Amino acid sequence: MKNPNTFLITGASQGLGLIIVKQLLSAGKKVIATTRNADTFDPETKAHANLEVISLDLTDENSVASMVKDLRSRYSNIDVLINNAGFGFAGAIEEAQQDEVAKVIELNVLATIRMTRLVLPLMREQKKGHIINLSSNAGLVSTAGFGIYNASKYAVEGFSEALLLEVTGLGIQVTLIEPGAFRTNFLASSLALSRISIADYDPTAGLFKTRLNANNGSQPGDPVKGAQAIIRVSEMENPPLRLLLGQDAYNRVTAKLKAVSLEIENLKQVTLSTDFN
Amino acid sequence: METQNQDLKKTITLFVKVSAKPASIEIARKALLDDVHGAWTEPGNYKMELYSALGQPENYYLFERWESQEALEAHFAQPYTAGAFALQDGHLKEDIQMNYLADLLPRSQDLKFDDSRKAYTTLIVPFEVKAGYGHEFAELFKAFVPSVRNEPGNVDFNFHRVDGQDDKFVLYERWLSQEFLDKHNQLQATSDFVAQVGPLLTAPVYDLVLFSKDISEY
Repeated sequence: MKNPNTFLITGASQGLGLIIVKQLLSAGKKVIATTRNADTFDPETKAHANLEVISLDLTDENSVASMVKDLRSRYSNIDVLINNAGFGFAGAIEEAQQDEVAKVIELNVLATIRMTRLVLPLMREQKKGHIINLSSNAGLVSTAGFGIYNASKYAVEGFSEALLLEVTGLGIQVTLIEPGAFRTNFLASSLALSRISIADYDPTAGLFKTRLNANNGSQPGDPVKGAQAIIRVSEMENPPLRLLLGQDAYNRVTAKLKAVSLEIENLKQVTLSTDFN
Repeated sequence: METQNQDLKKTITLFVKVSAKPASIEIARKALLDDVHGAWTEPGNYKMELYSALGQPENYYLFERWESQEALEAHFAQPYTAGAFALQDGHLKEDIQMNYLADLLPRSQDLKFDDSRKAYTTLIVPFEVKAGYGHEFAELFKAFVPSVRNEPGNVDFNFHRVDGQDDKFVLYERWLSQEFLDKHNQLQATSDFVAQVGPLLTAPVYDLVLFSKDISEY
């Protein structure tokens, strides 16, 4: 969108979200940032005149609906919604307890769909808007030990693709951001580990947990550059549906696409043999 | 950075990856073990170790060092080596990957027969560096390698470039025990170094690490 002015961003108190907020404010944009507790938001940033920080439980339908209604009464437009809130979960599928799975799906999927649904009427009315959903390279490529998180991000990919098909022609744009490993505090503060561990999964999910922990602090992705790339996408007249961030993401996703394509072609005869003659 | 003397230039270091099909994992292990045990009887073999890696039950890795190209060619002529290469007839997922390595910071002790012949705690890291950053990456190791070699419990810390590839490197490190490796990993200098090299790589550092187990059956 050319010259978007007003941004609504969720999960903005830390990590990539906070960096995006700071960069938008530096660029003179108006930012509405939601977080679980506005009282703990970075005070220096919070003092900026163009920033409104709102305490919000994204898992509560009524709270989100009320907030959006309030915003509609006070802002002429919401140009860009950045669904950034989310958290990671590491553990084998069998190690994950149902309540742990539910929490991941609740925030990463249901809350993202909720905010999107509730902001869409406003964007349709405006006849413009850009919804940017923070997915992950884990939304396209699975890893042993990351399956629950994979499932949540694949869901974000799935509904966002459909959403684009639905809102094309209504002036609304949709973009999925798929970062690789970025040097934020994601691994330290936005990642849950399964409560239980099963020794049989030590070489797979256990190894993954070890690697995640060891990689903390040496991730190749620079979050400042990542935030800049996301903001650049918000300013494009014709933004892409997908944007990978980081060479690790590029390598993993392109390797997966090649493997999927090869497997599909190898089984083409079987695939085509199942239709009615 | 170049290897430092003529003798070392003659020495051949190889890092080999063998990816077995699921049904042939055991067949491949036996053929590779025969190859390793046979190599140990050859006068030109300085070392030959067979590794598996955590989370990769289908992959085997060989780390080997030979006195010269002639010694390696004599090895290739042996029946047990032919047995290993014969795995390519239907037992492997992909061709055997033979990486010839150049030790960028060699020690004189690596120029002779390695008589340790026991399983140490080993990490092997096949690094892939972003295009154009190979020189910068290698320079970072210049001070780090000698420093790690002085740490307690370190047996080997050898940093190699894959011949003919500016952006591929292999780190081979052996420690007396896991406790010494853990201490190395807990050092601030190690964290600082990993944070420095991280941005130059195509994947997070520890995603590249092979948590290896020496299965050579000494």
